[in-house]
Amino acid sequence: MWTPIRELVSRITAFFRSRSLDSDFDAELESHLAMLEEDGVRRGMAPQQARRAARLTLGGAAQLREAHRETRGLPFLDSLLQDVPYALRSLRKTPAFTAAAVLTLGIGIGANTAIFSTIDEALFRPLDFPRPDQLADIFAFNKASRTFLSISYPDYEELRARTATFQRLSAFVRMPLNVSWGDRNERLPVEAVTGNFFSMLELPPAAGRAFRDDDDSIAGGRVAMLSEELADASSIGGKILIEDEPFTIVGIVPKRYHGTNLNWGQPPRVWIPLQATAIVQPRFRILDIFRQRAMPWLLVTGRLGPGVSVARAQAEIQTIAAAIAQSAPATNRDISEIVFSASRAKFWPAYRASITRSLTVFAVAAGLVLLLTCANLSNLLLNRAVGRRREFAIRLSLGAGRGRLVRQLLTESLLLALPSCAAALGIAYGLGRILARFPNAMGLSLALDGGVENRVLCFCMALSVVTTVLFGLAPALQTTRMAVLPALKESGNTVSGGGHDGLRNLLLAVQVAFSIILLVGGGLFGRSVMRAWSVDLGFRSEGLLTAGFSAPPPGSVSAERLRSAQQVLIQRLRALPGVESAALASDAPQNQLHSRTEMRTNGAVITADRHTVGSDFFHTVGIRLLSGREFNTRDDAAGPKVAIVNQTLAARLWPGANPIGRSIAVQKAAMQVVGVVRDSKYGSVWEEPHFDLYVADLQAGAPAMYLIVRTRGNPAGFASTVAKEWSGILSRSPLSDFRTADELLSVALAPQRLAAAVFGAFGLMAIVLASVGIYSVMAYAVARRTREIGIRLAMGAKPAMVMRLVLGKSMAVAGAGVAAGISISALLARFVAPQVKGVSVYDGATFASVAALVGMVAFFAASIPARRAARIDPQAALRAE
Amino acid sequence: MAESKSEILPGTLDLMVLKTLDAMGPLHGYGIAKRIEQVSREALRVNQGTIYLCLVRLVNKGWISASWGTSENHRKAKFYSITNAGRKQLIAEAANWVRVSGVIGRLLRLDSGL
Repeated sequence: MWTPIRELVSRITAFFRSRSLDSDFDAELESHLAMLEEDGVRRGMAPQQARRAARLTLGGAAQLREAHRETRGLPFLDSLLQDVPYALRSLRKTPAFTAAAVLTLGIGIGANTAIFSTIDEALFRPLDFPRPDQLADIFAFNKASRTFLSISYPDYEELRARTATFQRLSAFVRMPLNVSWGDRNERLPVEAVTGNFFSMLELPPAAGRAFRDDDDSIAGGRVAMLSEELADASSIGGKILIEDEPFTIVGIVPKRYHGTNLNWGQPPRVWIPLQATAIVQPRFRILDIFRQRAMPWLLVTGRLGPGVSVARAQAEIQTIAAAIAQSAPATNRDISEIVFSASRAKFWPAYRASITRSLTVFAVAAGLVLLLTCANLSNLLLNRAVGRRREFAIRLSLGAGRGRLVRQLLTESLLLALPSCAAALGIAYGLGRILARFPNAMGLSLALDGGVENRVLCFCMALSVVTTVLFGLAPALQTTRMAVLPALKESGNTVSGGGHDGLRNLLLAVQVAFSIILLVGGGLFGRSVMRAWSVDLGFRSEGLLTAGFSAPPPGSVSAERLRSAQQVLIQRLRALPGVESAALASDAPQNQLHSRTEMRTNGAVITADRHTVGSDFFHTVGIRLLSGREFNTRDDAAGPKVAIVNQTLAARLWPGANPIGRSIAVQKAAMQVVGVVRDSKYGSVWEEPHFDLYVADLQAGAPAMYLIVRTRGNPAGFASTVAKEWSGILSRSPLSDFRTADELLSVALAPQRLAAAVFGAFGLMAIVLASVGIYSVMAYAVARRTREIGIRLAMGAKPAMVMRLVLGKSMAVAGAGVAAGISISALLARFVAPQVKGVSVYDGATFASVAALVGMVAFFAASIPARRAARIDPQAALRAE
Repeated sequence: MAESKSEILPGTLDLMVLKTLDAMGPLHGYGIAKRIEQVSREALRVNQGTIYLCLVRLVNKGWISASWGTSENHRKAKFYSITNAGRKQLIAEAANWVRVSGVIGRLLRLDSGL
């Protein structure tokens, strides 16, 4: 049966010969008409009459031509080819509308794409390896404390030897190390991995070779792999120094590998065999860490055998863990192992809930922005479509079907989708970068890449198309459903589009409500941050540098030795130019974890935060001494036990009395209070006044492990000087984790800062969109009612009255939106309660000022058309008809 | 009455056009329309415009072919003629039509008890 094929071929040829076929058909119709006319004349009609009759008999030439085209060619493609240039022309004719629509869509979709990308990367996207569903992580779980732990090397070896469900099991650890090659010298995230790591992931090197099992030994371990971001194939065979130990570069790791675990802040850049950690970290060798079951330090990831489920692996691993617990009860009595699918366990299992919560809040904010975008787009399209009623009426009367018109409008919407999608991708890329780079964005640092990849691209395109089609459809259907004659009779500015007003006002109110919700969110987070910055911390963060001492290998350095070395360091640092003072402490600022202690006095039991601090601590961090004295070097093990309390604790223990010289019992030891200091937010900016007890470092059981240095000038610049001083005194307990106090503060505030920025930016966008909406709707209403207003004015209405009329109407809509927005915000507020700090989520000031702000903006937006209405010249308005 | 003209049954116009061209030889659109009206003794109302859509359809299917020529009145007109494929189609369709209309006729007669 080849008729259909023949027909298709004809249709396709006809499609391409459209123009010549059109004129051909016109000629044919022409001759038909002529023949009809001649017949009429022959039957005795007057020529004029005959021509008229002929046209009536044949029917409308335009419809016929259209039908002819559809029958002979490819009507769908044909009309699309007609629609697209037409739509382009009509979009170009209204550049303001087009720009507004593209920008609105771009922002709304871009924000959602960025958030989607982050959520996808953090929670859902499978790891980028072959058969990612086979990859699984094992975490140790302490059943007594219900916490997740790393895994010790002996445990790993035992799991690896005994498992049958995993075909390969690898262990790795990440650490920042000093790496130098060529003329570069940087502190880089280094991943130490077992020899089977890359073959387990099935990740082939970009160049050179991956590690093998025989690399993973002290003897053969001086090999390294570098990320493609750092080096290329030409570096293979070259030398690299890691912590001053030479390594040979054997392979390049492809750029797309970002590590299987995201919660280390930065993706790894350098890889060494696991056993080589003993080379670059001497204390690992001294600790004999590869034989210590008591020291968990590894993450374990493996590839399950084909068809093995995580549940089956879990059952087997648990049995092995139980067997280890039995044979080594001293260390492993409470230890069990839990298996996670690796694509799900991209970060420390305990973090998942907090990450999910942060992301949900952002997703809701982005969703609101999208809804707002849709409302705005709908309003824009509706306005535009209503303004074109005459055009549609003319086309309908000329014989265009309604379906054809709707298709035309949808084509226009879809044409908007393309540039919007491009704009959205740009915005998403920028936002994603910001999100990924923002330290501690989710309350912890995730190594997110923030890039835009295929899944995200599909999401963005789908969102653009669905949004534009869905929200283009309603106005298209509504405006083409009309009687042709009344629309034609209407002159431009008296369209009686009453039916659209309801929908438009509703959309407007929704926009106002959404901007309120977003601004309230931004306001709450913003006030959190402002509170935190403006609050009197009780200590001075600027100029403070902190660093932690690493615990020396057990048995290698006595506590006395460490203490005296620390004292020497403090003395030397104080002598350095640029250093104002230095002190020891048990915690760094904003450390949030501190020990608590119970104390008794006058029969009352009080729990206080206990801090171990060295001499000159309060002077160094800037906590003011209210009375008494600081600790000094004479407050040592030989001297009487002394303590310092903060003012809140002093007020609680000895209200109205002088605390100096009083005695308190701390864990059965009597201590004499020698000083009172001001309350501070040293531990956390969010903490309320609480009880702080300070004990002298030299009298505490264990040495303080943090160094705090007050510098003049930039504190970060002193890190290497301080480290060098210390390594000259005691090399076995290196200083690490140099941070400035300002850095620690800003990291502590990052979740609130980010949320404030996101909500604030979204909220401002929302308010701009809403005010543009109010303005355009009102301006349109005024233009439409020019004649009516003209009559009112001619009949003696005062301009002020007209203005009140217009303003009243828009303020009623805005007021409804504000009321709805405030009520919804109040309902939603409790969901952000865990992240909003230092201010109530029902903060009246925030709610009131947002309502006032939005009200004001709405008022201004509406007042422009209102003033225009009042200025209408009645004579001109009436003459215009 | 002249007013009670029947609309053409859907799908039957193709058949009529094919038959007309088969019987009359090459004809232009106007001629086909007039011929059908004459043969039906004006009982059928032919929308003259739709004749052209039908002609396009048949040309596309390869059942008729078209070429420009000169009419009886020395007017330029497009003439359609039936092809071999069209003739085959006509025979098949006509047989089908006779069968179907016979069945319908019998059915109606049975129902009215004649």
